[in-house]
Amino acid sequence: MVNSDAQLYTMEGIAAGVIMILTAYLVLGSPSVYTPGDTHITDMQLEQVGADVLKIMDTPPDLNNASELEKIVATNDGARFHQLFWETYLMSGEIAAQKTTRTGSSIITNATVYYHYTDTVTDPLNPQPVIQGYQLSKPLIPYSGSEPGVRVTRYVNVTARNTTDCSSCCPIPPCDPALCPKMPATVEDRPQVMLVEVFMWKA
Amino acid sequence: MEGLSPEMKEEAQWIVLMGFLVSIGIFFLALILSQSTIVGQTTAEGVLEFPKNDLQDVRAEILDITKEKSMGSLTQAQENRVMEDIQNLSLHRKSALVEYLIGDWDPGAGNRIVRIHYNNGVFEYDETASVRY
Repeated sequence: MVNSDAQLYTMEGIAAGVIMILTAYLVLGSPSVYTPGDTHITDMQLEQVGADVLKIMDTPPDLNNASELEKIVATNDGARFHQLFWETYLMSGEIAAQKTTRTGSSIITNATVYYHYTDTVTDPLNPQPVIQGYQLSKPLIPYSGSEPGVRVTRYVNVTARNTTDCSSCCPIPPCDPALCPKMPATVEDRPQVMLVEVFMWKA
Repeated sequence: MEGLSPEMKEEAQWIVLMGFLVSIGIFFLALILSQSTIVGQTTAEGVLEFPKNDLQDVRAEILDITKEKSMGSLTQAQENRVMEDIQNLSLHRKSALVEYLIGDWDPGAGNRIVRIHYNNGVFEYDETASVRY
């Protein structure tokens, strides 16, 4: 006996089959970890801002003058670096004034300078290139490791190893060179390129 | 189903068919929505991964050295040491291979050829620049 009931049953069977296939597809495809799409967007923005700040600091006022970053590295002036990078550029003056009292929601920076020299002491017959770093600017609070950080870098020209210029660290003469933060002893006294590396994270 | 009239049976078939079509539509919309969550992530990761600032920085530094060389403030030995600085710092801190060659001044053409090579394993960049200093 052929009647229209069979059509309905067939359609129901097809629908049930499709639903089962879709369910199996979703279940088998679900064991992937979904991270929210905006996880890295703030990192990207922080990195871009940091790179821009370093670029501004490494831009000389005119062709006859060194950039601020070059002066800071040449005199190893960590206080000036923090003042310019963090206070002047990264945050406007007003925000910085509030943030110093609320360090819990601030951006913390740590600046390190890396330089290259040839090690002739360890093995005089076979001198090796060495990359060495020293801290330029300390973070306000130590890195907790719970927040993601970004790293921005900038190459800086240095004309010579600083030995005498203390004008920035002790403005009142007579100046005691022993009090001035100097470059490490292994920095070679020659025109060279150093790498300023700034690590930034939200705290 | 025995008690239903033929008109009602046909109507029920249409209702079931339309419900079926709508459910398929909803499924595809859900599929598109689930894909959209990873779009922002991959975009941000792409920006983070591309060494735009490194490239610009290395390039500016090399052209800066070219300027110092043409002004005579760098001897050949000092220039070689500066090149070792850039190569070693790039290799150890940025894991990027940087090579460059500053050509001699060509008085006829009034320029100097600077070749820059950058490779960090993911991105490779080569440039031959004509510099008028």
